[in-house]
Amino acid sequence: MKRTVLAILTLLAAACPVAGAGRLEVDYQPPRLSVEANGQTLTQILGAIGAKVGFTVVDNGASSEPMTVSIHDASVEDALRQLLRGTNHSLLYLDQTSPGAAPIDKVVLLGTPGIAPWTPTPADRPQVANVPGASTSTASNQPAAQSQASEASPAVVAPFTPQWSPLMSWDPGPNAEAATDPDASSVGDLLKQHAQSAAQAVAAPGSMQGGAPVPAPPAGTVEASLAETTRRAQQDLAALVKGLAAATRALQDSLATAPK
Amino acid sequence: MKLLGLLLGLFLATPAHAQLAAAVLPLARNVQINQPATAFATIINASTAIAHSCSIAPITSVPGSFLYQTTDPKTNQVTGTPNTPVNIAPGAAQTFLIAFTVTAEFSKTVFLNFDCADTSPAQNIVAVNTLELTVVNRPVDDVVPIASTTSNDGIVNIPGLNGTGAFSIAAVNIGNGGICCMLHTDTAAPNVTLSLCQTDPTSGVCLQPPVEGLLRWNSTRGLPATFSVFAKGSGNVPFDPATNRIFVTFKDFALFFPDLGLTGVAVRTRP
Repeated sequence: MKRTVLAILTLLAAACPVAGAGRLEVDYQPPRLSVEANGQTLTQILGAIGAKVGFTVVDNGASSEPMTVSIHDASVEDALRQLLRGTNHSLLYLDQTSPGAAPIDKVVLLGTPGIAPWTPTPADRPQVANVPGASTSTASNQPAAQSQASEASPAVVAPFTPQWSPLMSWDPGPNAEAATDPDASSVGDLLKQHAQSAAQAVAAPGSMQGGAPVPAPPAGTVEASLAETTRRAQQDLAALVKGLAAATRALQDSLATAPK
Repeated sequence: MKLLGLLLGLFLATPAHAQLAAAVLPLARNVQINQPATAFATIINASTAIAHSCSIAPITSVPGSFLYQTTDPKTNQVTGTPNTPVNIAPGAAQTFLIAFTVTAEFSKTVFLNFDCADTSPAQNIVAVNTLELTVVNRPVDDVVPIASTTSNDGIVNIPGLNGTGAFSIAAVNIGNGGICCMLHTDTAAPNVTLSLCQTDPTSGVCLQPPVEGLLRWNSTRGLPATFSVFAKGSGNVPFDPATNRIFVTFKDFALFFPDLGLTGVAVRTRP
């Protein structure tokens, strides 16, 4: 038994690329995947996984920061989910219709983030990937326990933690137009419209309607109107997410300065 | 799941002569433990008198803390002080930021009590003024979607008994889970068949033919995508906007995780 384990380890060690003093071991027993890596870059780790699983990795400028990873007995998608968190990337799948079973054809690591840059603190930096069943002896990027949070009663102001939130750095990009279009809805308009969409009274537009209701288009023109609704949906999304980030930030600021 | 929630919502509802209406956006948040899950909410005073001392409180038990605070809907800055009731003028709406900071893993539909001292509470309607809240001890995807209908009122109109209505969705994954999503449509409305597709963000044209059932979207964190949902009628869809609604949920690829994102509109037949 001991010899078998040793032989497997030897085979794994021989099969996996090793860079410098680091360690990189990938064990793929379909559909379960285990990865042990130390001092390896994301591209190296993904490359080793791809060699076993059957996908290729395209590196368009991924971080060269060494990572420590310990993943045991996870699905490929779960492992990738952990490895790729915080990384701008695209996944290309083979053409297969069965959900959850589509094999990954290619992982593309993108160099320029699609969102506004953020500056991670050492505690935030994703150096160790954890999945259910994973074991690691190093620090993960899970938030530090906030003991005061569990002690707070429902009536007490929420203790906000200063950790990074992806929401706060979202940039809708140049196509959102929300900031420059005078017809764009405000968060208040969106909320009103949403509330009134569920009210019988909205059948006849009421005095409280925020955005001006548009008459339903005649039959046959629905497809043509989708360009407009698609544009409006993107504006509304930009307004909502940017608004949520602004309000959340303002709340954090106000709580940070509020007397205890 | 949504239908079960809808029944519970109707059970909790205060139906006749509603003076207050309420809404929440986004309808779902997925965060890590101790990370604040925030959303906007509004209370609309539909009465002809001032509604006094209006407040928001969770009905569903959530492990952690909750707060609400008024916001300026134009600037989205918080105003006033946390957890302080406010008066709302007749016919006016007050926007709020609500925030949960949850201290243990949690996943539920959170019902909220929108109430004023001298009114009946707002009717609880799932996916209108509830929050699908999931808190886990690891990075998680968090999709914010929003729907837009051709009539710009949150209602998709099906022309005639056998026509097809449509609406658009824009969505962005602002979480840090990495890879998502499967889109799933659902409705309690009779005589409606749903299909959906991902669209060109500029033209709104489907990138692939619409599918009934699940649609895969390989999200990139922070990059919005657009979709169209088609509602084909096969009979009359009564105007019952609290019940006859179309939900679009964003789920993980394995479909076992709670909703990563949620949006919805009302649906009806229009002659």
